[in-house]
Amino acid sequence: MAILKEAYQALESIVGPEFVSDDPGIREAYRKGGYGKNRPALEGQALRPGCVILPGSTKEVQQILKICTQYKIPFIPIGCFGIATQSPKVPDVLSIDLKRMDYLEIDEKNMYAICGPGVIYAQLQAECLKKGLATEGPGCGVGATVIGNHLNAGVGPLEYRMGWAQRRMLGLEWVLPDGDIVTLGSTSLDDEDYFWGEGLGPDLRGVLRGTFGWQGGMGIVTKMATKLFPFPGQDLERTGISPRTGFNMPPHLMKWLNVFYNSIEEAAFAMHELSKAQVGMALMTAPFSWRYFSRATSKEDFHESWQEALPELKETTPYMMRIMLVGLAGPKQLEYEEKVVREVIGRVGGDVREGRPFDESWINNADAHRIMFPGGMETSMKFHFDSLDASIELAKAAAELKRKYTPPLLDDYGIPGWLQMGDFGHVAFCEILVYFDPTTDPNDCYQHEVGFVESVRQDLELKAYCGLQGSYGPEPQIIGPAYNNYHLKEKELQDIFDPLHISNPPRPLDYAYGIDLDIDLSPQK
Amino acid sequence: MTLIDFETYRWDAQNCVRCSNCRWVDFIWMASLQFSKICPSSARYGFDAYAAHGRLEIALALANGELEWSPKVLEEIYTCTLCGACDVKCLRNVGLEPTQTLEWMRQKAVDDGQGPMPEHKAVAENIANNRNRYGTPNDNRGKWLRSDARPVQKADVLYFVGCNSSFKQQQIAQATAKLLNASGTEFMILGEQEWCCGNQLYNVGLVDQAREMAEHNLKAIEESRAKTVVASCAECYQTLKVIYPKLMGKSTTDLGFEVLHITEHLDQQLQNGKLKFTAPVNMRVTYQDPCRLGRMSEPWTHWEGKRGKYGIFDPPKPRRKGTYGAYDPARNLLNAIPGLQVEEMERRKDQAWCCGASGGVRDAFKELALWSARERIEEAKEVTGAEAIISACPYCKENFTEVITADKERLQTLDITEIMLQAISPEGKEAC
Repeated sequence: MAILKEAYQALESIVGPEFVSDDPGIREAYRKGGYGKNRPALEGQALRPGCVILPGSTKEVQQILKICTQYKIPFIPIGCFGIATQSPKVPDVLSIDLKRMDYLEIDEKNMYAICGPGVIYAQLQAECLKKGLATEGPGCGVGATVIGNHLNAGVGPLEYRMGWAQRRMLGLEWVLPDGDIVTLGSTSLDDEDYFWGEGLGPDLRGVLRGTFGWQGGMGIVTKMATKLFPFPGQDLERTGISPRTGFNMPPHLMKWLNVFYNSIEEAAFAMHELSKAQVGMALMTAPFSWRYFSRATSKEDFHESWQEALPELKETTPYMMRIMLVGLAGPKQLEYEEKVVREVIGRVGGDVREGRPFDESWINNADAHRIMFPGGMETSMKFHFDSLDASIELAKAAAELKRKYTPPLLDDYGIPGWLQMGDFGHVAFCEILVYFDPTTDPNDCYQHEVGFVESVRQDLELKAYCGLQGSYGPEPQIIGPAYNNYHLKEKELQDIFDPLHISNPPRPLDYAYGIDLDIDLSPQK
Repeated sequence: MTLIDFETYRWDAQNCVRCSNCRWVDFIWMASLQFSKICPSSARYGFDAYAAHGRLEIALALANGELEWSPKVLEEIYTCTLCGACDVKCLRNVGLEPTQTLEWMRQKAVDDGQGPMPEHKAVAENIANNRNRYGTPNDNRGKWLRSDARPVQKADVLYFVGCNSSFKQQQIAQATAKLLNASGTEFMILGEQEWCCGNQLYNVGLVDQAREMAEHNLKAIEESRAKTVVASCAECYQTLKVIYPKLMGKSTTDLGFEVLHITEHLDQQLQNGKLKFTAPVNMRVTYQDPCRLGRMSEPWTHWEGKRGKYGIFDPPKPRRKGTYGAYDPARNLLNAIPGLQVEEMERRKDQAWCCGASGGVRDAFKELALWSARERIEEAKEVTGAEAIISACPYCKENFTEVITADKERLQTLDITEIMLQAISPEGKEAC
């Protein structure tokens, strides 16, 4: 341990000896975060933190950050650790695990919840469903912390109606890297009032928001209010034994309609038209591979059945558009919305079939991590917000690019990802997923990295939104100049809030570490 | 030599994506913030080193020589109750089997001369000297028998009593014997030829000593010519059904006899009309699924092979996901008792919260064991308003009893055999 004994004692006096440790085993467990941890860019660079602490309140967080400032100790806030950016990359870091701060309060009447940074979506959803409300579980899984995910992007299946997480952010409490507390929105007037996000003057939520955000590079948000939405959760019936658990949906209030197409363009056109009708709780076109993930009893079973099915899938390129209909105001709304959907599909085409009234993925996203099932690692080659037409264009180009790196990427067909409407059609989200084994053959990782960099160049060529890559990998070196050198401006902004650069360094410039690969990262001429 | 080859499971440790599902109740079944956790050691201590995902990182570091043994590292790996919840959760989504690695770490600790904990060594010494975990002469093993329990010399059914019910909570053995009689089941016992099953020995990494127990008990069972072995203890049940085949390099189906928990056997007798509950038991109760009767009890299938790309096992390896645990027999029995109101806790069946006694935790980390039991008792009271928490494992009952007594709780705890005894005869009530 290189954290000064004096500093350690000060930390211990804040939380007590039970909640701070410099034991090597405890520190080892905070070395590597989840997603992307095996990317060569991070493997080998993740260090054991110098010390781990579990604060229990905002006051303790504030005191801890003041100690960090006093002793210039770099710190990393950790929610669920599902993301590799919370791995220490400089020596003697203090990892601040926030899981004890699981404060949760729901204002049922005004439809919002105030969460501490240790609350995960599943907990929030469980409490919401009892009250006839819901939040949107993100695509990365409801094990994600609510605050961490809101500061990240927060894309999930119900964003068609609920919008993505960063847009649901209301009042909040934020401890800056130097320990000062800032409250935003109505909270700045009244500590108890989290109803409004907007305050007077510039809206500082803008500093916190962003696709993939700061990842702990801007202090710690210790309380946040998020919008909730009406949802007849009391009528859901929990059922099943692991791994086949799910909600039985009340047939008089909820319904799946699945519409089948043989081209992505036909599916997209239908999504456009349905969005105009402003009906439904969720609207998405998902790849068939997900069905195989979901139904497989083991990895071996998946690979066998997938390889068997793939030739025909490549031939017929089926796409399934799924629409979740919910009668928020009662059965008559459900009847009306179904009529509208059937009328639209009757007009634009498509084979409509009613789905089984059962859900394991959309309401509480319990099976999100099944995407790791086939390979061991999944990464998003594209994470794209744009118009639907632009998304389709990018998705098709990405599919071509993916084929170039397949294998080692897992073989697929057509558009290997999901397309979804958000904000009732104001935005389309497209995520192209690639699956690979990051551990068995080092060359697979290398190929994956090369493909990733090429994908960024493709984005720039097509003027597509580089959502994920812009703040998550080494690629901003390429993207920055095309986006007004946003990365350098980000750095300037951080200099104001964190002049000592102690909040999860080297955020926001993780890519400054580069990747230990012989890839030319300079912009292509 | 460790029984488990870490190299087979290194892929799992390397590919843990830190989703943290291993410490939460299945997200579908999660019904509240208060009862949303499933890993006792993680919930109690907070640091990730006490959850499966953190322990996998520790395992990798140990295997790679990047982490040295210390008393604290031993604590980090031995505070796990090996309740299997992390396996059930991970196999639902990511498809890894963390429990294999958790067991390997303990076996390695023993191999390296570091483990198990001193309290485990004391129990192991008792077993080595007296063939039971309490250090009592094993000649006394059959002394729980009363005149109203009637084993026979030779029968198809062998009742494997277990150390706890033989020496400590003898009322469970007595109730079991009477229920077997009442259901028309002729049964025999091994008496002093029954040795400790070795569940704890295996779980703390003492593989060789556990194998010695397995070899002896399997030989005794073979010599008895029993077709069915019935256990009233969930730990004995899981040891006979899962750990013995694992230790002996065979599958459960190759044991040569069937292993049933008393709830499974009596449920069969209930279904075929040989067991009847006639005396009303007017009580509101809830049921604790013992981990080793529920999610940990699926049969063991011996597997040998190699692991390739994508973590694929060649030949395919059957996974034990907790799907086919013995959840329903106990419920069928309780629901058949007249007057008894059975209410479910939020965390149930494969998602049940461990009482905290298992995996050597009650012996070495009593505070954690009791904390875990206290959590469950709170759930029983708050969620169901129950008067009693019923379990089907003497170690659950023992752990609950200690908390209930210390906290002067009004809630009772009973073994399922005790409440069933009340339902077959009015005298049974007095006996309990």
